[in-house]
Amino acid sequence: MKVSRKWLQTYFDEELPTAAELAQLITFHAFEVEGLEKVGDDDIIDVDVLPNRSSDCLSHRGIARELSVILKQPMKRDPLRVTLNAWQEPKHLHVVVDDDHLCGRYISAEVRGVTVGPSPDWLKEALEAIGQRSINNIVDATNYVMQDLGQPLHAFDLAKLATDKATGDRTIRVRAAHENEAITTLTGETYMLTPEHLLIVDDVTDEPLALAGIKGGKQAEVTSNTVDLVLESAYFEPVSVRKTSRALKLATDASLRFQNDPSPELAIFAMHALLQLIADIAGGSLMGVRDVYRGGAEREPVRVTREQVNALLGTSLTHENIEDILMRFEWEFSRAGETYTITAPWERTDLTVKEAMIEEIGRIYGYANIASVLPSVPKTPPTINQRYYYIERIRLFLAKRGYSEVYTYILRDRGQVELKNPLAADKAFMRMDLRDGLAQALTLNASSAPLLGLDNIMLFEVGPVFTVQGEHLALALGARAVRGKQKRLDDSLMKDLTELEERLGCKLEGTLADGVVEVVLDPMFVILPEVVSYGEPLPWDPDTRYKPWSPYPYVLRDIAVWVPKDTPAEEVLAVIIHEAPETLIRHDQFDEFEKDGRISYAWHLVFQAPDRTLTDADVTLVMQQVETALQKNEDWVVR
Amino acid sequence: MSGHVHPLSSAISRINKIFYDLGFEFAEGPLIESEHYNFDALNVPREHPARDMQDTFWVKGIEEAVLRTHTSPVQVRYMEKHKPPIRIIAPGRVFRNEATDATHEAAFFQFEGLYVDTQVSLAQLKGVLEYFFTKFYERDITVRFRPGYFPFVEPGVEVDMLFKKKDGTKKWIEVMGAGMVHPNVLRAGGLDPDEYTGFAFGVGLERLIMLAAGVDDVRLFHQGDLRFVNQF
Repeated sequence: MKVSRKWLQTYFDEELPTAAELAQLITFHAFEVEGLEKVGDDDIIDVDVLPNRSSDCLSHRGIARELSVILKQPMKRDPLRVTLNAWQEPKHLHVVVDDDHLCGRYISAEVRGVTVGPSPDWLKEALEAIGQRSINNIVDATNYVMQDLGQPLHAFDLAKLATDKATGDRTIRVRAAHENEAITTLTGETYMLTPEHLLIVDDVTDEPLALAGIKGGKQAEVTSNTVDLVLESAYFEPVSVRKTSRALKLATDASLRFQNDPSPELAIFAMHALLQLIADIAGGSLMGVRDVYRGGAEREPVRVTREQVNALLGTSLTHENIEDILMRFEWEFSRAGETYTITAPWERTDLTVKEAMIEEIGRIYGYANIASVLPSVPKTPPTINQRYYYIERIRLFLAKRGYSEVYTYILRDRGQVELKNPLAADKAFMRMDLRDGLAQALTLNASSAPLLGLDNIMLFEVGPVFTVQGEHLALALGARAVRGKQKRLDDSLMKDLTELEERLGCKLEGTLADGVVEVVLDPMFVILPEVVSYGEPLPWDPDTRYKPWSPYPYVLRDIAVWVPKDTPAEEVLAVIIHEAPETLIRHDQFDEFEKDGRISYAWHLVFQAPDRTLTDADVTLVMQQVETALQKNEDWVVR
Repeated sequence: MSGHVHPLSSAISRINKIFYDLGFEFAEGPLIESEHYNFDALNVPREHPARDMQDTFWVKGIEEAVLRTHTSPVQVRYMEKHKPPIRIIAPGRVFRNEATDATHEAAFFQFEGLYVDTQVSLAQLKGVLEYFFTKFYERDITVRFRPGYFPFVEPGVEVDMLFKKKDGTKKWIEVMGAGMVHPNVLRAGGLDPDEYTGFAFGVGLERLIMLAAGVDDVRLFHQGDLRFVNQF
């Protein structure tokens, strides 16, 4: 929610801290702050109000209340604590609510003789600062009060409501939509409805006026010609609003607020504020207010002891500390001995359990003041997870045999367990084996074998697979030769699996295909002996720094050099590296032999640039430079 | 020649060792989870806006089955079968139905921590997390809490750690969500919230490794590419 510092200032006599300071205070005592922005002479704080506080804090007043508690500065005004006017009911405007579960409260006001026009500058600026568009003084007034107090409001053009032939009266009705009934919204989109959706309608014509709690209709739109108004401030059932908003894919500032269940009490205070604002900026006279209310829930006091507060937070707060915080909230509370009885104000619908009260006390006291305490370690060590123990041993064994571990995608293009709402067609299934992914990984890695200095790609994966029977744990080993004619290494795979069986002391029923042998491990865990301690953890170096690799292709070259036999390989290599400092990314010596007092060394060289494709010509040039440099030494001969 | 163990495996192993020494057991749960354990039992009611906080995959052909969106379902499953004191960690895969990019992957790893006993406090949560991070990264790390909201905890906190880089610079980094187990969650696990309290936390594993090793793309963990794995 975008919050304006200037707007917040209207709640306080004393100058508020800077926006940056406010952001800090909000961050450490209330909500996450997503960003700060300067708009004209105002500062906008983007506050991430989460579902637990969306009932009262999607509003400037809500944030001002938070700041009042945090800053220990009383608010100079509070629109939710004003004394309400004793309004008369309008004589010729009626309200019918079909289902008071779906619409717990419907307040309707009739205002005659307003002047619709542009908003005053202060109002325009206030709305524009938080990214809202100014439309006209009436629409802006409803929007302003919503942004101020959190109550969605709506204005209809009274003249566009039909009159009853007999009485001349108008009637607003809140009813379920008919099957296939259509509504065209203020912005011109038409939605087809079902009885699941709630409508505000003109009871005389049965024409829809608004999608309840979501958006107004075109039918009774307020325009520059409007003179008389019907104003709405209501409470709609949150689940119903949420379902409709999702079904129609229509999320609005109103639906966002209603689906978070603001108190129905809020509706009347918001109507009070709206009527006042409209009188101020558009004139007109109030004919009356009709309030159809099924009644709100009783507010249950919450009991919590000082000991419970301190036990849960790990603090040693005194009564003075706790009472200070409760007074800053201006909550009704009493204390008998150690026990506090706290009644949250009506707008705090979230405070229903003592843990919530403890959270309120804790965050205002400040989490920074909470100590760091390590709980005592139990005398008996924890149970060993047998499955995990053996998985770890398998990983260690295979790594020692030369296999590297991969984690391949678990969401795949085929399988036996399908998702209802996949991200993409090739990620619509849970994998049914590891083989597919491991075979792909063999191919992927074979192509980068020279970069890795590997002659054989040897991989394994341990992980869950899914069949119609359920979730299983599988192990797969795969190997592929990169050099030589024989690509398959099936014999060595089976040999390694046999050795693993011997090491574990249990049979592993593997199936071999595509250069991958796969085993379901579940039966193994039943047979294997129970262990009483974990081995050494798997190797881990916290100082490892990852180096990204070039996305460009690499080029391979071999080089062999005759040198006098007392010349070490490093000396020769140093000359090679010196000539190609940027593009020679890897060298692997593959040969060394002596003959007639000379020694021959040979290397595979891998060239790759971080920022471009190396051409054959590029590398040939480098190789020429290398050869020239090598041959500068007497008795060194490039073969 | 020796092969390489995947950094996720190494991290889980190390986490298990650190928490084993504190008396925590390695617990597990299914990846295809019921709506009950993934949401209802964790105080995320049906049709509540809190459900929107995690984009969910639904499984065809099984009534109310989801791919678990967090490791938290293991909390209630474990509570149902064990009496406090309960100390567990639960590492494993979780799923989010959101577009993938360098910081988002549809399937990734988390680990959960849960401690339930007669008197568990937020101060102990801080103590355990500082102990863990200090051991995991092999350097002194302090944590701080900010108010946060997760339906299954109350109070709920966002956890930042003061991460000291090798060059000596320090930076606060947001690492996880945590808090005191909500009484409704204890009840769902068959425990009396007047008798027991607990703390819980959940943290993304890839992210912990990315911070330490300077990895800039979460997808690298799941691509089966040895150019990545063999650096560890």
